[in-house]
Amino acid sequence: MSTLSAIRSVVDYDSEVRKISQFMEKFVDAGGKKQAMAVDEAMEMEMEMDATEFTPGEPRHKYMDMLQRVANRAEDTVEIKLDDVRDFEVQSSSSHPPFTFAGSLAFRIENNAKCYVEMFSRAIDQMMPEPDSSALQDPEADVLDVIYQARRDRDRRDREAVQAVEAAGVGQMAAQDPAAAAAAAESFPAVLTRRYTVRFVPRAAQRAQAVREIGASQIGHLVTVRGIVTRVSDVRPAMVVAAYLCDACGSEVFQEVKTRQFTPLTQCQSARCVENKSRGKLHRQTRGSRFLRFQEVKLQEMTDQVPMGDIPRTLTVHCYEGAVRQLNPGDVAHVAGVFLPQPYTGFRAMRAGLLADTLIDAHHVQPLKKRYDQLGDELTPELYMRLAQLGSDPDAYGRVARAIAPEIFGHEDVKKALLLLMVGAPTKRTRDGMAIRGDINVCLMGDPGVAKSQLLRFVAKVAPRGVYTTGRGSSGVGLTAAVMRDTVTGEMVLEGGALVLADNGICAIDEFDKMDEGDRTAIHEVMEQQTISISKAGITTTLNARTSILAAANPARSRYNPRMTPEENINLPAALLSRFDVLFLMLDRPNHDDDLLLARHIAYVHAHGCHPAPEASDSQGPEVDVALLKHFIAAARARSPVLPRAVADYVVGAYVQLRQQYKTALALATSRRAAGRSTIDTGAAGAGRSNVGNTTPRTLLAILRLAQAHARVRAADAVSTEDVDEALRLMDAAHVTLDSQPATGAGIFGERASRTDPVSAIFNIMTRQLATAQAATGESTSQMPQLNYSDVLDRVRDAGYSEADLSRCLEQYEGFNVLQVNLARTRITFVNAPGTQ
Amino acid sequence: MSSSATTTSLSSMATEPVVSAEVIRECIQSPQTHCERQTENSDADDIEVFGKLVQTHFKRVFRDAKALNQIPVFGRTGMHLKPKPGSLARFRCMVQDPSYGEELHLSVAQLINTETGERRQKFSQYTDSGHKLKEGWEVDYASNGNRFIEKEVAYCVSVPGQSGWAEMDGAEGLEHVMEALDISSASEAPVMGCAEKYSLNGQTHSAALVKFYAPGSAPKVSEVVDVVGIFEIGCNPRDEEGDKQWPCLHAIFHGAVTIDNLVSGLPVITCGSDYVHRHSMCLAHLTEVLGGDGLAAHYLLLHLLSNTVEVQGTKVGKLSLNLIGFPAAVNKHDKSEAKEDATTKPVFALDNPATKRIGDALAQLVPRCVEIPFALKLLNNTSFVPNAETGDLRAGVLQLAPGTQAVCDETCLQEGTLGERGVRNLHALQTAILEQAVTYMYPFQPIEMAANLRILVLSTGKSILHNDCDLYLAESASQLLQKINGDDGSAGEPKSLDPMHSEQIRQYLEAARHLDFSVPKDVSDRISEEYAQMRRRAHERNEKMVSQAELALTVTVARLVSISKGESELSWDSWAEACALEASRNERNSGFLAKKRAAMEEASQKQKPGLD
Repeated sequence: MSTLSAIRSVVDYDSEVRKISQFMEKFVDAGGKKQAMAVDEAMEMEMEMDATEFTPGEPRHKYMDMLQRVANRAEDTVEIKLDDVRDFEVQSSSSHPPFTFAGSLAFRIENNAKCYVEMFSRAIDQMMPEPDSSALQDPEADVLDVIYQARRDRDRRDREAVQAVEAAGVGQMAAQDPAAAAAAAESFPAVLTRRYTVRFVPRAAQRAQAVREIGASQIGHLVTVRGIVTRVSDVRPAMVVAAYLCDACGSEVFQEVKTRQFTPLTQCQSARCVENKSRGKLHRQTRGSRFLRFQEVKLQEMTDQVPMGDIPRTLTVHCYEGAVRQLNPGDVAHVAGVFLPQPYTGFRAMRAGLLADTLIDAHHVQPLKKRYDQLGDELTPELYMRLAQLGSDPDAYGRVARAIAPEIFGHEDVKKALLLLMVGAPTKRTRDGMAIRGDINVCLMGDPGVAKSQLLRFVAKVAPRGVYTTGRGSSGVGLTAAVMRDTVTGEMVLEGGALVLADNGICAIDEFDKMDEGDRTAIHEVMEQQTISISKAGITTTLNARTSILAAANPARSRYNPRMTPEENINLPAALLSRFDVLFLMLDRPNHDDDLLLARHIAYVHAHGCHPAPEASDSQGPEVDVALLKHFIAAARARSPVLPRAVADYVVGAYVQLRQQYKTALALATSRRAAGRSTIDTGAAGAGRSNVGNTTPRTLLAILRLAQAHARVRAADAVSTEDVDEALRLMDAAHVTLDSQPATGAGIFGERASRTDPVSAIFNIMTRQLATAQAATGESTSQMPQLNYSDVLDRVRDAGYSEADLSRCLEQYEGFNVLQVNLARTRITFVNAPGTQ
Repeated sequence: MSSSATTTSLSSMATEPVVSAEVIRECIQSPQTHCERQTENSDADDIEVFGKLVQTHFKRVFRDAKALNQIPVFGRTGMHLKPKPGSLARFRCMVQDPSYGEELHLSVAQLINTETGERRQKFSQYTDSGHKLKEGWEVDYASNGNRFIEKEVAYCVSVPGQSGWAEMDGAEGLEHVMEALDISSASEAPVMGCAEKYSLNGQTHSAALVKFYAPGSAPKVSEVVDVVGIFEIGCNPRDEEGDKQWPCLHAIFHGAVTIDNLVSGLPVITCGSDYVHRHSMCLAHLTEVLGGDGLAAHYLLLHLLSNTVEVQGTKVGKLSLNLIGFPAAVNKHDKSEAKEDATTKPVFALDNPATKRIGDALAQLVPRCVEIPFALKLLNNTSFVPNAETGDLRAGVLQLAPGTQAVCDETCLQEGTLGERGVRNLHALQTAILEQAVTYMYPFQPIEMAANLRILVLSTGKSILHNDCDLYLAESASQLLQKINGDDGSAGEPKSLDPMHSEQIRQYLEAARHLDFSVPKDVSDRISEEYAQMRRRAHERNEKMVSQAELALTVTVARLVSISKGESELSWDSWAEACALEASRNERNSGFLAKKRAAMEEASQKQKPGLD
């Protein structure tokens, strides 16, 4: 079969070998330059290697050094970088015929790698240096060395005895070999004495292909394939040279094995046996044979390489020696190797005469780090352009947020929170080794039918290592981890549940309220410590679960009941709730405009088979699709913005103010209770704060995390007050949905202009306005806070209420002795207001 | 490259409009020799050109149904004779695993005459065996002219749930023809494939390795195709022992199965009145099947017309239906126990006469109909999702061809333990219903595939699965079904349809399903306005508001109503009709629920004094 793969054009072997020797001898590695290039090509591996091997700027004969190390038995692989071969050629041939890649040695190697392995080996055999004296004189150096030495001695003696005939004895093997001269003199097959394997490292510029892209036209080529490793076999010895001992003449006979199966020799063909017609029987010797470590790996296409509606293909990879044990099932890897046909063996060969299976003979194996961007689609230049364009858009934050689950209408703040969740904040490690989580946890609670599950599914789909699970349906392994008995080996194994699988990712848990008590307890640990502790069946361990949790829950009794307090509606323990950075309440309330839009959207989807074109306002720039979204998030995650001193102070101020507000709300709620809640039907407005939206030190961390995530989205290297404001606004927006029950979302941020209960909604607008005013001026002194009536009116009108509504509101609260309006109706003074006391 | 060659052979055929019976016979009997003869005359010097030449030639020869029907059929149930290796064969199949392996084939071989030293080039395609060479010639393996090409191997199985009428039909007395031509072999080639590579695990089916030659031409997973190719007995590349013989089909050409292939005798329906006529015919038939329940028949018809279209991640046009009110399966205890001992294989057939009546009626109307009884044993022991974790793609019950009708019978569900697998299976079915997606379990990266299934759930009470739309059967229907269930089906076989009528209904369903559909701007605006108003009114009166899902359902119903009438644009009338249908459905459902609640209360009240 090797003949089929090899010859494409007439090759002058000797001149090629000469060229190779020249390259090996003369190639000078300029460390510094190499490193710069490595950075350029983003070949991390290479960079690391270079950094350890060479000090930058110091030229070295890289390959001669390598050969020396091989001779010293310090290494057993000669890795030839095709980039080096190319560079060498470019440097040496700059003068006369201009360098073209298509005519270069590197190109020929790439197209006929299997053959060039042999040629490189031949060249190396010729130039292999003697081992350094220091390295070899170790008596226990290597058993094989001892054996070879003994053989050489014996052969010399033999040669001296029977000089003339000797060549024929081993010539049997060597005759087929074009390098016969050298091999015959050595009297061993070259393969046997080689203590190294030659492997090529593809050019950095070579693109990693998908399994399906590799076809018959690439037989014998050095190809690079990207895929996921699904199965690896045990490491087994593969025989390359079989050694036999003749029981008649005592000579050793070697047989080179080039295929997977071979017919062992039985009769001695040595000169002596042939002469004496003694028909010596051959016995196979394990010690004298040469074996290579061998492993078979199955490589499967990644999801992003599979066209729509197709299923992934697999490819067999054969790894030898150094490539063995590099890959584990589940790894994503670049495998470079020679694409070869492999004839069917045995019965199948008889049936299918012209058929061959295919495989890759691995040369260079590189497992990829499971990084955010590498798991997704590749970043094409076109995508890169769009990403850059998106980055320059001032409204990138809003646009990207809108791209989350585009089929769901509205809920802009929820989507923004989800974007921040996907981006996350950098994890911090304090000096004493304690980690402070950067993952943002979000809980969505709401009526059935507000598309919570769709949002969750979308996030789990977009995020790498995103896992979607339901609290109720996860039987079996569950969320945490389970100790299982392996059916094959009978050993106990730990099987990770959803939370472990989502390590470094996002775990979306639907029906959070219906979860097992046991799992929920485990989530306490996950959400703050980011680990899962297991002690079952004698296994005690802690698994990492650095995951963001996105939970969705239904209110108690499945629908939000406005007649109950929020904490009665939210049937989750406070200890769990406080671990969520943001808690959104998504309620189903009618809204004329939104409803209209939504209905039109549904009709549109049915009619045209595509989404309605975005509004004119966001039509600038390209539409953000899932691929772009992924890359945007990946790019954002790469940054780690710092928190400047001034901003830190600002955060502290905001936090203190929130605490104040919380305290007031508590007091207010108490007083309200005393006054009798029934007097004002919207009493829940204050009570809502009492338990659900409470402000704890965790809130401070949440603000910081959200602010950092927002800074990442802005592509900034430092957190600014603007980020903090957005974080506060988001948390506030989440609170608004809680507080203003049943009058949802007092349109302070314009997202839900409910017309149902203006009174409490307007009151909320005022409280918020008051709070912002205080935060801005930084004063929270004892004097009574005041608001400008016209300012309030503007806000109220913005939110879609009339002046009549406002007066009704003021009247009611005046009666309750919360505020006072001056006679001229220009100033509203809070008597017993939140934020004071 | 050799355009002259192509044109010569094409022009020679153009002058010969009618393909002679002789040529057809030779094509069927010994296609390889025919290919060789064809190409000897031409000077095609490229394997691609050669392939195209053969393909166009065969397509030409078998362009009309009459010629096509003479080709032996592979894997047809009830066919005793099988095609002989080396002859042409047809196979209507579903691609179960399109990545069964890629094989390299030495298709351009340079020959050398050992005596004279003369060189020649030889093409080889549509076979796995070696070149048959004349005396003195051998392949020159050292030549540069040898070329490998890859063929894509797909594991194909007979279409799961294929209705009897949708099977490939042969010409009258095809078996006689086959015998006469000596192209059949009664040899026991293993036509039955691997059990775990067939969706309906354990059912009898045929399987073959189909090899596709033109690059990129192979159909995708779960597609249904008609393949015409050269039949051969080969070996299975995944079979490690390699001693089992496998039927192989070297595809010369293949095509999708359309309704025109199935009901070849009828003219294509075009005008609206055709639709209206057949609509009422179909409705009448379904009403009869459902014991006179017009509303249920209407919804069943809409369900039959549903077809999932994916619009940027949203699945549109699906309508899974749950018909409630079927009598529970009669527990034939002694009989079923005996059966359990006898057969370990799960059975994909409805056992309950009442549900069977529906299943049979649907099988008459749709080309593919799969029956899934929810017996605990079946749920616990089979896998619903395809699984490739062992390295080989094993089929799951839900690996079905697009457009397959699935009838789930919940009436035979009994108390018992649903194992982990059962839970996963039901979950997979639920995902298929709601999202029209089936997850293929690939190691480390489960892949979600879009599906296009119509799932009908028949149950006694409300189904354990969540469906798009559920409907209680009218009293009259339940009573009839109860009667059928009682006396072993003798009560009333539904009046069998006139063959002509059933053909017409089949054609109507398929044609209407693929109509384009759009909503004009004014109608859409009116709907939107109405929806917003409705929500506001409901909220003011503190009633339950219409949700997004309900609106989407009504729009889907309206869409199906209008295509059922052959209209490709939503009219206000159709919208009103859809609203009326939905209203009466809701009314009936709430009526039943109220009755049930009342009955329960009564029962509990009756129980109370009993307890005291």
